[in-house]
Amino acid sequence: MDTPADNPTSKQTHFAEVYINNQERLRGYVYTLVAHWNDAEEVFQRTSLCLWRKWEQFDQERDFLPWAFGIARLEAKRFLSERSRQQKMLSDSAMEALDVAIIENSEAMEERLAALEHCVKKLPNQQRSLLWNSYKKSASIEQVGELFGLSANAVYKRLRKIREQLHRCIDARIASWGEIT
Amino acid sequence: MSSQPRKIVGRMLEEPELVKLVDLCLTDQASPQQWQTLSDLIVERKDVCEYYAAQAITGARLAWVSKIDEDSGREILERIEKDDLLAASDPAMGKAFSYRRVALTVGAFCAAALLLFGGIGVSLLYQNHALPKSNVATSGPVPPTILVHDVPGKTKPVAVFGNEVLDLPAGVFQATTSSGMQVEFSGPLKLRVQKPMEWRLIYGKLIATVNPVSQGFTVTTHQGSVTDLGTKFGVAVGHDNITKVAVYQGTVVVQSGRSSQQLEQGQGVRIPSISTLDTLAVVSEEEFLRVEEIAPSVITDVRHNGNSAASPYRIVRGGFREGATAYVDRVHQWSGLFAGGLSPALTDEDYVQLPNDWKYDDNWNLRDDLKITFEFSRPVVAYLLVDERLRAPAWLSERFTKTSIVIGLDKGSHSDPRTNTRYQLPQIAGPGNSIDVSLRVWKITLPEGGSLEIGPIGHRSSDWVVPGLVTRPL
Repeated sequence: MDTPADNPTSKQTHFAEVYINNQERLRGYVYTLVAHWNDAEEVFQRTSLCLWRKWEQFDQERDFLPWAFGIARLEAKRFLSERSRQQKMLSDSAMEALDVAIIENSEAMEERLAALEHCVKKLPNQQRSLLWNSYKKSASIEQVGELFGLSANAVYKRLRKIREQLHRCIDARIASWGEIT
Repeated sequence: MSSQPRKIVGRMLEEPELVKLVDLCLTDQASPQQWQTLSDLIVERKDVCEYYAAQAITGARLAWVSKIDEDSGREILERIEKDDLLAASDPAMGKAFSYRRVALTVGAFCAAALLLFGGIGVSLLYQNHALPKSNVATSGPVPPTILVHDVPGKTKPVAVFGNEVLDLPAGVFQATTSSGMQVEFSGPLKLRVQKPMEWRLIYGKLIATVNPVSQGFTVTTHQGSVTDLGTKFGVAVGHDNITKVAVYQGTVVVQSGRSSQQLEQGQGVRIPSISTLDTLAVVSEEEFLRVEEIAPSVITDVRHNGNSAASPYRIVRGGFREGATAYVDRVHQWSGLFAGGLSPALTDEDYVQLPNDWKYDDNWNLRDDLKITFEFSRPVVAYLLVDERLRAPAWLSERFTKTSIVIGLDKGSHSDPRTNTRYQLPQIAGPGNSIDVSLRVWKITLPEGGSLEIGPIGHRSSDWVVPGLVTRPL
């Protein structure tokens, strides 16, 4: 195992590696803080940018995630405040509970993502297409509804059902894997 | 080690009103009061907290994959480049370092995106690259991940798709991938395309010339993984069964167990055991690809007291997978018990096809004293697959660890006048489709290799099957 040296280049390389290794967990955490995918993506980018600005402050002896999650919380609050949406977010204590849950269960969450690919492939084409379109940056739910000949309410209901299907599929797939030893 | 059902973190909540509440919040439809209610529940109830986290993380992945063709990586990079604070944070390093920093950021971001999302992204992109213009959703044809040219006996290039295995004879072969990489394979070679950007090299050698869109491409072996950061590199699992990595251009990251190392052009490592990275002198590409014998299986011999007229056993290198033949004298196939498929812990490992007729004595009567001894040439983890209908004998519980992994057996038909056996069962491809027998996986670690004696297996008056054995080198 290589040990990062104290010089800035090595330190920055080490920071880059740590960032890469934890980027998805960070993204996932941001998505728990900010509703709607586009807003969450914006906050994730702001958080990433902030981390890159502050890379020299990163203490290699300490865990990356608690530090990064703290910055993500600040960015999320700032973002929602700018849009006068402070009331539509989780409480501080709920954010902290999620912080702990994601760090403690990071391997389990990665397993869920590994199972997700399989479960998405199992969706019928039309459901899969509805799902992808709903995440498109440029498409509102109304536009997705127009594309599929559905009302916005019907799109929401179908998407909720698809997400529930995916969640149950992931549960079943992980149960079938058994213990990996 | 546990016989308890596996704990599933983030499991589906069985309270519809809570599921709806989480969905309302995650889709930005919730009222402030609903946000407060959810906040309280997240603090009070661990299951709600984990479910919410799992839903959000799934949403994050789906959102990212759906945007992968919108080049959001470039967007963030542009913002980083424009950010004055970044350049000002270390004035002593000057312009050169500023450039280096941005370059590193580019590499890191691309690597992150492709490393973490490349596989699923490209995979799903292939299925969804042309999102429907009408309200009828369709998927276009999926291109093969690899095309191998000029394989003896083949009139057309050999096409390998996702989750398929490439099995090449001795020789050096040129190949192209769907993402535009050039790859040279040196056989004998066996390789599974786990995802378009993630291959499992079971044995053999390859040198990949990775184009920019394929950065993050990863080759795994039984001892570690090699991830490209924009480069040309070789990976080999040759006659000594040791993973070797050589970098010819650019940079890669090698990981094995708790160890990782970044390699630059002209550097190489060998991985004699997991977590051990030894320096390797890089040889020329021609020498690296020199054809050589593959390592024999870690399983060297099998002895038994079963029926002496039964067919000889067969050791299959890297062959345990969905649909693999289970016994030398039956059409039975190994299969995942459920649609999720076989456990990844066992897939592509060596296994033994034993004769199921070993359950008979020389007079073709079912016996209860079958003993089998396996010999291993090096340290291994051995997985014994035992018919769940048999009572677990004491030696099994005492020496082996009972895992929660269960493997299915799809029997198909069999007829043998010597045992007065005749049955015709359907055999349907795919996991969980026509399972006739379930076998529990028991695990034992042999840190020195050597002998493993099992038995007496026991028996039952009606049907039962001889155990299977799968191994993973330590």
